[in-house]
Amino acid sequence: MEHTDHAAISIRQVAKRFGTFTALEKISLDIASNEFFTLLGPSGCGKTTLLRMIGGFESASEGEIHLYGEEIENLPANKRPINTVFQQYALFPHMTVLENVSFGMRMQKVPKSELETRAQEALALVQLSDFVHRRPSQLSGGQQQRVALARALAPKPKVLLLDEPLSALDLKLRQSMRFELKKIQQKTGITFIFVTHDQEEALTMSDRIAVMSAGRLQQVGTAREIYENPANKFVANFIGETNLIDATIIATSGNEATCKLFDGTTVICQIAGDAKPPQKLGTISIRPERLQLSRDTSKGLKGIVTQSVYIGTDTQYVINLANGTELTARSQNAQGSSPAFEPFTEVGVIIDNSAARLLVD
Amino acid sequence: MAGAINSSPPIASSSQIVSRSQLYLLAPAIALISLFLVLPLSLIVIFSFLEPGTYGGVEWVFTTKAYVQFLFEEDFLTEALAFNADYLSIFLNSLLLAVVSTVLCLLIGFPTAYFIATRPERTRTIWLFAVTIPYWVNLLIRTVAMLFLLRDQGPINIFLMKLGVISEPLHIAYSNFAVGLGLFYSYLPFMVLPIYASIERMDFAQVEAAHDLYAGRWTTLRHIIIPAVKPGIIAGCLLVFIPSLGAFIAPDILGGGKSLMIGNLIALQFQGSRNWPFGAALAVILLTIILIVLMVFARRSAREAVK
Repeated sequence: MEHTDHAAISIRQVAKRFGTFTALEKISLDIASNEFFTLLGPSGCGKTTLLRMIGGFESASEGEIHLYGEEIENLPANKRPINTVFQQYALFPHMTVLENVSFGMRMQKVPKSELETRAQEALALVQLSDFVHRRPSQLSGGQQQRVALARALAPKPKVLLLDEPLSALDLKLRQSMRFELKKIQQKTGITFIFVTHDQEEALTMSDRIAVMSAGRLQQVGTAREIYENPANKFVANFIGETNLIDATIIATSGNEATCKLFDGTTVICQIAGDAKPPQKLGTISIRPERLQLSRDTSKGLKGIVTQSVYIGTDTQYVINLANGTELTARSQNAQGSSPAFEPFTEVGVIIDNSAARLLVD
Repeated sequence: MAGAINSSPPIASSSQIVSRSQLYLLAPAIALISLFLVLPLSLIVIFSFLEPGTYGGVEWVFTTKAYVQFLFEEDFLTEALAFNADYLSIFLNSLLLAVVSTVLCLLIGFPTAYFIATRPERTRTIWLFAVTIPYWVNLLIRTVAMLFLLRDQGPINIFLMKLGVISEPLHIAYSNFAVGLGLFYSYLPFMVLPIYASIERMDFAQVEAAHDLYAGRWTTLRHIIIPAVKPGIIAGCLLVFIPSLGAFIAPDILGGGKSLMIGNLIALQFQGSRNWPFGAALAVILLTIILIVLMVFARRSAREAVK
């Protein structure tokens, strides 16, 4: 590997404006070689714009994009060793599956004998070897998706871009494709940059995730990092479910803060991100599964269960606190246990200090 | 093969279910077409096999003379037949002019259609509107105006002479060139509109995908865009070629009788020459040529559908 000292893709101070609208604020990001990297965010957050800039379909208003240390801003899309799996696949309808998959290599002037073998290899990788002479219109959505993947992989790009490739598939297929994509990525060793708005997709496949919102990078980290240590309110809310409780900061030491809740309960928790809280007020974020309910109302926060929903592996409770705050708690269903807390039960809600995070944005 | 069968059922099954009540919907159109198309057309075919009347009209005597006359000349005295290429050359000239005007329309019409189809949706209507504006003026007037521009003392020649590019006027008017130009101008929108419609329907992500897969602009045009909009191109070519071949006004005015096309030749037989059967025979020959062209295209697109 000649490129070991460089990131596969290095995004440096890249911004994108359409007229007066800013699609992307200055973003800097390094994506390592062989990484499965996901850009995650709600629609309109700029993730697709960023992907299109890497692919060469959009030019940056500011900043530079480097591919293994080389500036690629001036390279048009057809000169970049980067291929894309498009959201609606964009297969060529007048060509067979084999012709579609061979197209990139044909344009690269790959010798005919090699071209055929490599196209067959790519189709074998996505398990479509039996469909080589079909037209795209004769394939199901899932099969078309695989053709699009094989077509983008066949020219052996240095980086593969995937623009919400699973969004058009039904749930079951989407779930099985997740593991297959991950497997293909590991097998080929190609750097994948995957765009999605589906947090579950991002969490299950990615080595690292960049959470984006409103044209800004909110947090970059592994699935565990962004779930357990969300950097801010947006990330805490967007990734999984969370409870947000207003708190007053009494004291801070290092990155730990002692906070007081509305009823006087104190919680010692970690401060999210690197920021030191400048103000007295903050929000505590705690995941539903890290709240523990107790019949002993003298423990923790006092509240009343208003809803108890059985959802298979878990039971989910909605608890109303005295000041009107609504909390969601979740507990795993042990074998055969009936719901432990019926609605209108008074409970004590115990916050697991090690799982609570103080958000100061 | 199996594929073509797989993909066709929805169309086949919907065309099979035509109920009696739906046939009533078609009745007025069928009546109209029978009265004003099938009937006159049959008359023309019948007339082409009759003897000409002395003062126009026909004598009801069966003969194939009209068709013989197309290729051969009868000697007055000996009644021997000699090959005569005059009419054939007019047909070939017409074919050539029709092909040239079709190619010109395609060369100018395709980029125009592509430009319009790639504008933002709001401005597209304005551009399309602009394409149709010349059609607000009657074809005859447009053609006469064109003659005015092209003639020896016309603005184009005066302008070029004032500039000193030429010392004598160019004889553009009354030539094959003028007729070709007139045909091109008359039928350009027939090329632009169908091509526009198919480009507009095209998925432009395919173009991006082609660029993504290392294809340059021209390769993308050749391998992706043209195959995708081929139905529009074929429709446009037929819509220009067929009326061009039978055109009457453009050759009559811009050709000034010097550059005759089939349409003028046919008109002449019914007016000046008073040889109705020959005019009818010429019309039948023209119709046959057009049917052959249509069949070639139909067979080719059918073959492609199977592939």
